[in-house]
Amino acid sequence: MKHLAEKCTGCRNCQLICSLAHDGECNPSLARVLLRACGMRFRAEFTPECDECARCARFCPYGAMEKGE
Amino acid sequence: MGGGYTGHLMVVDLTHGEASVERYPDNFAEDFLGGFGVNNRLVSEFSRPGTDPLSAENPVILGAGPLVGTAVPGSSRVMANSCLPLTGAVASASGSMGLGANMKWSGLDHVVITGRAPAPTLLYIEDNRVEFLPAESLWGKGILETTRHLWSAYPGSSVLAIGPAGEREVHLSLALIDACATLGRGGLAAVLGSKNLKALVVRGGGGVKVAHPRRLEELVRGLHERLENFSMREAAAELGMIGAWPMYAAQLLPYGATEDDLRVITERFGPQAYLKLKRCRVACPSCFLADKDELYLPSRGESVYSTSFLNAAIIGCAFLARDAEEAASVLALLDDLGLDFMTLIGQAAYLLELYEQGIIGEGDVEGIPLAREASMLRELAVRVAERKGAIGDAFARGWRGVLEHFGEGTRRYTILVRNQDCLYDPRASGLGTMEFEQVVSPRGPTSASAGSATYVPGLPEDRLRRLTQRMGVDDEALGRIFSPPWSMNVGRLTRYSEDWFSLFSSLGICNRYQINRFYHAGLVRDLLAAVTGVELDVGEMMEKAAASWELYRELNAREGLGPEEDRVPEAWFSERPLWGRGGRLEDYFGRELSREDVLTLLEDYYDERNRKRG
Repeated sequence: MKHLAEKCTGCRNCQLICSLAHDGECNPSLARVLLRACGMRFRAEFTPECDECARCARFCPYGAMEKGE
Repeated sequence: MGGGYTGHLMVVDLTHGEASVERYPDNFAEDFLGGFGVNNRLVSEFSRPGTDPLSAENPVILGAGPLVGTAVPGSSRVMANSCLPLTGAVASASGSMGLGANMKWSGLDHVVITGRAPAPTLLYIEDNRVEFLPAESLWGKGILETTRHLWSAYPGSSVLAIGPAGEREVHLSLALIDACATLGRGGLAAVLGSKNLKALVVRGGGGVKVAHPRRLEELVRGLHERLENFSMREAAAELGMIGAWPMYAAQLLPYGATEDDLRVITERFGPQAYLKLKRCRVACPSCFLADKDELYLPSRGESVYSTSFLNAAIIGCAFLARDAEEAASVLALLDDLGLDFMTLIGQAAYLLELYEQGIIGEGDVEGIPLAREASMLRELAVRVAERKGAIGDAFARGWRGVLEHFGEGTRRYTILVRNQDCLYDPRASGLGTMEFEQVVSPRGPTSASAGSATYVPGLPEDRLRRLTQRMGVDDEALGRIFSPPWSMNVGRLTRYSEDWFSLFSSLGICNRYQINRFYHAGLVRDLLAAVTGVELDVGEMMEKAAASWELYRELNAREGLGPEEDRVPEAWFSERPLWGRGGRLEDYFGRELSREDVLTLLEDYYDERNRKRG
């Protein structure tokens, strides 16, 4: 997965849908995508558990997540 | 309780530096849904009638509903209830950004702040733990600097902060969440300032349980698919509210404006002007149509956050700013000081009116420039925030102070209900629910409650009817609203707009029209069931929303702020060229309204308000 930081608004939809789908609750700390905040700018990292289901990309309203090659 | 709710509230005693986490009774949420509704119930527990807003005894109650912190789009609302100094109302204010979600991720539905700290204090909450920290070094600093400092100290947190206006207990102060979401028009920051509470920082490391995860994912997927098909999606994603610039520009232009005037304001404050300042869009947790921005202001040499660039455009048009940067700089100053820009604009416009009428001269305002320019707003803002001089101190006490200073006889040069200035003039926009609500809201005029489809001008009657039906209004009520002699009875419709607001604010969904247009009552019921496991029919759910609003009215009635304070502003009955339309009092469809018509609509509102649903 690839994070396009310049498009990210910090809405955390990626984390909320990821943890909902994989862990059954809305919990950013359980998500397979981690967001590091610097003010209102965000940098994403993906954990080894990420299976590239790409929900984070489908549910990102701002086009800030892409499934890589 | 199932998912959604944590079932816990934190009670903070600033006087003694103590806090406890308690379970609150299940029936609070069963009866009043959460957020706004349960906050009202907690006011009954923690507040006594007649409490001085700026005393230690006045609690501030924060609430985040069961959907807050979940993936439900736009579910980031946090509600703050307290007795506010501008009006004396036990008001419920609505805010956004990350505060509510972090409360929920910390295991808290509500936080009740009581007492008064002996010295400036910072309250830090993380996962049910609380720390009371000294804040002397932050006292006197602006909200932006305070917030940046605290983000740096507590990465990933959400910050509720007050500015110098709140510290000096200015009645038109408000707090900001994460430096870009306002909370508490009418002096919530003054209440926090009176408690010596500079900021509340919340960082939640947990999550929100969900009763039916698969069902919730499907419902959220459906909402995102609706967004995909929204014709204005790309413009909204790129430009926020400025994406609908033609609609707003028409409302910002004076009556009789020319094409040339439209070109001028579009060049100064329209989409291209916005894009020159925009650095990135900023969203609340789970929002799929962001409305906040990071803007770069060359004159300050730094980026700031904006509550919405549309607010800068409003300031720019009203006070003839040279360009977008000047308008955005004024908004940034007011945000930094923690002042409500709407009331401050109203106060400045009132001063100009007195000057133009020859009632005051330049010597009466202690050197404040009496010209419709950004410099006037800047100077007035600093005087008010610092309570500097007789004018600064009088205006800092809100409209009561203003009228004491310049005389009760000048009341007619502003438009007040419950000592708070009106935001929407039906002579300019027609009498929709937002305009009507200013008369009957227990809190006085606000920008938030009683939004409905009348927000959008020019809709045909059948479309209004369909959009009203989606708000969970039953067929009998629809028949009363859309019946002769009115094509749409705004008094009756306002009751259901209040219930719709109550529902959204109790569950935690954003009530901005751009968001709530994607929802209907059946969908909200399904989302509530998916998250919490609580299965209600639409009628039952809307009854609870109505009960929450009724409790809100009762709490204010016991303060002496009942229906007897619902006074239609006299100015609405005098014709005057204004923004937008020609200046006659008209209904939504542009038909003239008499005084008798408005009083009839008011009676119809009470009649509808007192009816049970179904």
